[in-house]
Amino acid sequence: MENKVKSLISACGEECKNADSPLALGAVKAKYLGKSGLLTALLQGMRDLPPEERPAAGKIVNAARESLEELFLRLEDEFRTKAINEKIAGQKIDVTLPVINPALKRGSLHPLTKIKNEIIDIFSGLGFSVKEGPEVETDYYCFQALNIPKDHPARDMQDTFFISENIVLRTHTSPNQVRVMEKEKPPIKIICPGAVYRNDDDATHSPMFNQIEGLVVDKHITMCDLMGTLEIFTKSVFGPNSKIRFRPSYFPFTEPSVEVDMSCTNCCGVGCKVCKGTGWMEILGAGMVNPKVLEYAGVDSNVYGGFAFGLGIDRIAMIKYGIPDIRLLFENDIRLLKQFS
Amino acid sequence: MKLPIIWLRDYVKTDLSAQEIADILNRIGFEVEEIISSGEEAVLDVSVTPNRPDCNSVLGLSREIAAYLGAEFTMPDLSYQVSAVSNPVKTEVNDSELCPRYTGAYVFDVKVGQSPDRIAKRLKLAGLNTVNNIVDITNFVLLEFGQPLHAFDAKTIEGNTVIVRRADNGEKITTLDGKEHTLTGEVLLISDKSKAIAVAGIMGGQNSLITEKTAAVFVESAVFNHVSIRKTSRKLGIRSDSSARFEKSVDTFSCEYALHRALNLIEATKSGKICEGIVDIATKSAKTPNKPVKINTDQVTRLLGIEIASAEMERILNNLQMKTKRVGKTITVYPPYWRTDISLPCDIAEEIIRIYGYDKIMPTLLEYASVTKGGLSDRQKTVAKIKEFLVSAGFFETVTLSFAGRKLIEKTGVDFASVKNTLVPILNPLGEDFAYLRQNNTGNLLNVVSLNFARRNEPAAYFEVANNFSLCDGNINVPAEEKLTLTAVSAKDDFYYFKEVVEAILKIAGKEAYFIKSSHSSMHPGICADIIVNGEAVGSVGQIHPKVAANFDINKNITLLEINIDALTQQNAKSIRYEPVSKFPSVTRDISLLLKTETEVGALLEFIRQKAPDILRGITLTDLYTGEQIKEGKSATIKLEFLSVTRTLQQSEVDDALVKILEKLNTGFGAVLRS
Repeated sequence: MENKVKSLISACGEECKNADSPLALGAVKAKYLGKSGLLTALLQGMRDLPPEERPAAGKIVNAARESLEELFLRLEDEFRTKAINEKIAGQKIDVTLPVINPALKRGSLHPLTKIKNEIIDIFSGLGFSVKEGPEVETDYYCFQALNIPKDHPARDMQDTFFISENIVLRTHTSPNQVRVMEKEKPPIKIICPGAVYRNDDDATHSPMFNQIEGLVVDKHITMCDLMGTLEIFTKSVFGPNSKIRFRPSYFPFTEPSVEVDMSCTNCCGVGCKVCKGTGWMEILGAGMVNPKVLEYAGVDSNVYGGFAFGLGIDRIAMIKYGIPDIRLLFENDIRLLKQFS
Repeated sequence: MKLPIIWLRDYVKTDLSAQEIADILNRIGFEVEEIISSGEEAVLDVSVTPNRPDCNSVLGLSREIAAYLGAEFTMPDLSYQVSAVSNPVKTEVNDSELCPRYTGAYVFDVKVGQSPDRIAKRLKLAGLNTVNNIVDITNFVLLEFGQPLHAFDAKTIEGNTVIVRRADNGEKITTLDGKEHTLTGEVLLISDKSKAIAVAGIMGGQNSLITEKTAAVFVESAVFNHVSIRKTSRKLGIRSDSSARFEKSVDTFSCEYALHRALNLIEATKSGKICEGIVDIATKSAKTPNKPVKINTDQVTRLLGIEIASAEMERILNNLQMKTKRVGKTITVYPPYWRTDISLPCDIAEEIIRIYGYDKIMPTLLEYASVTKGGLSDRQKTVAKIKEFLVSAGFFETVTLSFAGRKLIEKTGVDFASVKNTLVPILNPLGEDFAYLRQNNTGNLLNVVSLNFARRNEPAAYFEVANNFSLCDGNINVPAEEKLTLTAVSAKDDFYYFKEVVEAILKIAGKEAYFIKSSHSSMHPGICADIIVNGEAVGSVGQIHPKVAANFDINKNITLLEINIDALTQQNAKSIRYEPVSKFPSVTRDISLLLKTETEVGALLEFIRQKAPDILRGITLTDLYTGEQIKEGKSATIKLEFLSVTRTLQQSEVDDALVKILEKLNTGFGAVLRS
């Protein structure tokens, strides 16, 4: 038996060597391993062997069958591989060719939205919720509750658009802070983004522009916290080298009040045309919430205090992206919009 | 406020240069806009915030510099001799609410002439012209003290009586600029027995002005109510250095010292002799000094976040001429009469820190604050997702102004008269194109398309998510209704692309919608649909009416989409629940139906959906054909997918179901299978 098997295997090997196509190989496979194949016949021929010889013979024949099957698998795979390689040999493309009429063309968010989202991200990470409020406001929420009584000279700081005697287009997003304070108990950390309106129209002022104001109300909040929070903001938006400084100022709704200057982004604080040689640019207004405002909103100013700040998104965008005229932001020429893809 | 450096040096001992003084003022809260000229002529143009009316004066700013430097501050000389002659003028104040304090003096033997150099020079540097010695002195003291004065030619005061009263309705006065004004009862006047001689606090009358013939003068130094002055100033259209200061409020004590100073200068310049009998009519509260403010030093430290020694706090406050009394941690602070802005402990904290220096504030990160959950609301997140989707779909976001004018509204095909009562009007608009708040964003976006078209930019698609405004029940006395709306336009995409966009957006909001034929003022009547979610129209999509497009100089087909985001995000999205995937194979059948031209395919598909048996799981339109091969009507090819989760479907089952569907389609729509 052993010899028979051995000679079968070597004969098969020889014929396989000569098989020059998958079809020819298939014929060899059928000849040896097919229904009427030579090795198959051997397996069936074991019936004629005495029973005590069958196990040993069976082992030999099965081992042979396995090795032949492996051989055929390997050779079939070789043919397959060869065929694929021949197929792809001629295939080559110009990978540098640009896509003609692309199907996937991206639009863009408006630069103001990008800045707004960036700022929202920064403050969300610090635990600030985003609260939006009405653009058409009552005189009460827009001014009186913020410690700006009627006929107060502070109203001249913001030229207001009126709908009627007591209904105005909000001049800042601060009214929404009052609304939130009325509804929610401290601790409060909110930012209020939105469109605001002032009767102004030139290269750096638009009758409608966009602000984000922030408010923190809690039991123990200091001016140092205000500075720390604003520093995180400027460093995130303008880079880790940006510095800020406080200058005393006045807002009716904060006391103390400060103007916040940031080191000039153009010259890094050395002094240039952009910052008029000072090395600083005004970027924010801020201060500790005036106790009167807390009281108007129903918050006990003996227990709670906090800070508030406000910035113009348009101005930040103009500084960060180098846009010279605010009106370009509202013109929506696609050649500007595309740059923010 | 123009501050000449030489004038500052009259009161503060300092060798600092103009630039160094400017730096200090900037550091303590007074922005110096400009330094005009140099050396002896240097003048600082100082911006004074509305809470510090006392610093609209040379003395006010001088006190601030002296406080910062800890330098010597000298008040001007207020002394003068009173002659034996009595003041002949009787003074009455009929409205003490509008005039809480009125002081005045009579000067005789007046010699009107030129002012001495000292006064003239300072006035000129501060931006005022010289007139004559009397008027110049009143202006000098106005700038020095921030207290407006007025001098009347005493001879013109009929009946030797000065009355502070409201005008009679229709009463007239010609002010010294030559203009005649007709007054109403709210206007406060200075008058004599028979006529008005000045609009109080704003401008003197022409009939009482100082001329070279003036031999006697009545000097007025008074306090007038800031609201009244502001209203009158606007009403009559007169603004003066006087009215500007009264509008910002003057304290009720400076008027007395200012008067003394004026008399001192009149005497020093030998311009006249002072009668005895100084007038001073004041309300009780006008003479009530400022209330002291008690602060706790711990409180101040807590507010600022840095430690400042109590002794240092007191030193700063004392330098600001606030007397202090300390007992333990409590300091009682006495604000001087010119500080009308100090009433709360935080006001004191501000005084301390602005002089101590904000450079001492060190950043901390909310050391003692509670942890709060931040971020966006669900609605805001949905809006953000919708925006990101639109950007990926090739749209460019725009931001436009919320205003609209009649012209723009009419250009979009809207009948102005029919919407006028719902438009939010602006009382004081920038111009007629800004007269209302927009009710929809169509006009603005078409303007964007038009602008880009005119600039030969490539056709593109734009979107904006912003509020549209309408009056509530036509009422301008309540806040308007604001609807957050997505508006999108495209010069390159068609209706069906926008339909895909709408479906994607609705998916993001967790909603499903169907489209029904509709009409819209700005849209082509045959290419216009409403978007229906849960039985309610939440928006529209369609092609812009060619006439409207022409109004905007656009000769392309423009597609418009409007979706009310508020309506879309109001109800919660359906929560997702896994549906098991079937182990059994599905059976698909493609049917081609011959339909009448006017059959709405969407409605037909919806009909199939409603009437179909459970086993019908998928209905997809794969082709729509109109053309040569069909004489009348159109052909729709629909792929139907049948599936069961419990068993393999038999062909006969599917065949039966299909027959029933076709029957119903024939009955409902006259649809037949295409051979």
